[in-house]
Amino acid sequence: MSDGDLLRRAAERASQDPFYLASSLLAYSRAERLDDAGLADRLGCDPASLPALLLCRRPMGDAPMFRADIQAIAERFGLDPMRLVRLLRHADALAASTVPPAGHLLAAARDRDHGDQQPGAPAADALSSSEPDEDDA
Amino acid sequence: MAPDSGHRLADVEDDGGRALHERLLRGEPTAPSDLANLYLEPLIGWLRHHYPHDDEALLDTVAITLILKVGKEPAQYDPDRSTLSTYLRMAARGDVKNARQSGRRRAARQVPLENVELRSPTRNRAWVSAADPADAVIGDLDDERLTALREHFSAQDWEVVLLRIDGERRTERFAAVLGLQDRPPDEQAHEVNRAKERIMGRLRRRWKKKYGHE
Repeated sequence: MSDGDLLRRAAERASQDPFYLASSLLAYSRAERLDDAGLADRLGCDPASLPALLLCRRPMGDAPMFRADIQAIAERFGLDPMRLVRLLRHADALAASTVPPAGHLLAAARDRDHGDQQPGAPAADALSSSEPDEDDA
Repeated sequence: MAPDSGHRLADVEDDGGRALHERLLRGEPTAPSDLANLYLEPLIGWLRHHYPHDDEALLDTVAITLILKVGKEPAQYDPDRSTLSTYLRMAARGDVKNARQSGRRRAARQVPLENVELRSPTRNRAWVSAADPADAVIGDLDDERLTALREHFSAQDWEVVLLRIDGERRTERFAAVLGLQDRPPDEQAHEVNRAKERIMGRLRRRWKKKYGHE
């Protein structure tokens, strides 16, 4: 296994930890159905250096620190800093849109605990009915 | 240099890990990447060399997990105690042991009793060659308990202990740690052997005193 393959495997593992840049960028590439070449293209980086980029610490902190992090990473990997920021913002937005609010999870757990049919909850066939919901009216 | 001269290990040898460690502590965003880039492949190579009978995927996972952990929590490494390479090897060795034990516990729950005897030779395999009797003792050392004895050794002597645990055989590696590089080869070999006997003897005595058996 080449050094690049090892780093890519490490990056895959790092994608499970929000500390690492891989957590944002690989989530983004999965959501956008990009392979590594596609992700590297969006970032404007050499595909061979993508694993090392993914293993950087994720930029964080207040605005000056975030900017400094972005600058350091961009300089090291020859990236356009604004492009990196835009992509991270996009990744954050995607992550926020795919995580259901806590109340929703609790409600789902309650549904499992007490059976699917809750008092006042619409039956499954009612959801597929052609009758418009109140909100649609 | 006298073994207990109080010199920091970095005065004897530094693999570049000290500067990288400082960058990690400062929170430089590219430092974890550099750690992986510089240390992952050699660590996996070392693990595969020292654990040729273990599953390569397990060894790779141990190395990757450790590198990511140190990249995120660098304070667990003390550069005054060992080089970064040595620290990673020592930590990985403990992680391999833990992974094996977890695997055995899983296997014990899954394998029918009549097959247990078939697994015994693997379970009892020494982790290093038994050519040197000291290796048998080293192979049985428990990492946590071993680390508890660290305070009884100078940084230089502890590096010799770690090299022995790593299975290092080359006289020149010990000579470098002991500051004997400039001596003639015969003298180097003699002094290295004397130092190894002294240091491993002290390790055995300290182990016996603290834990009651060698």
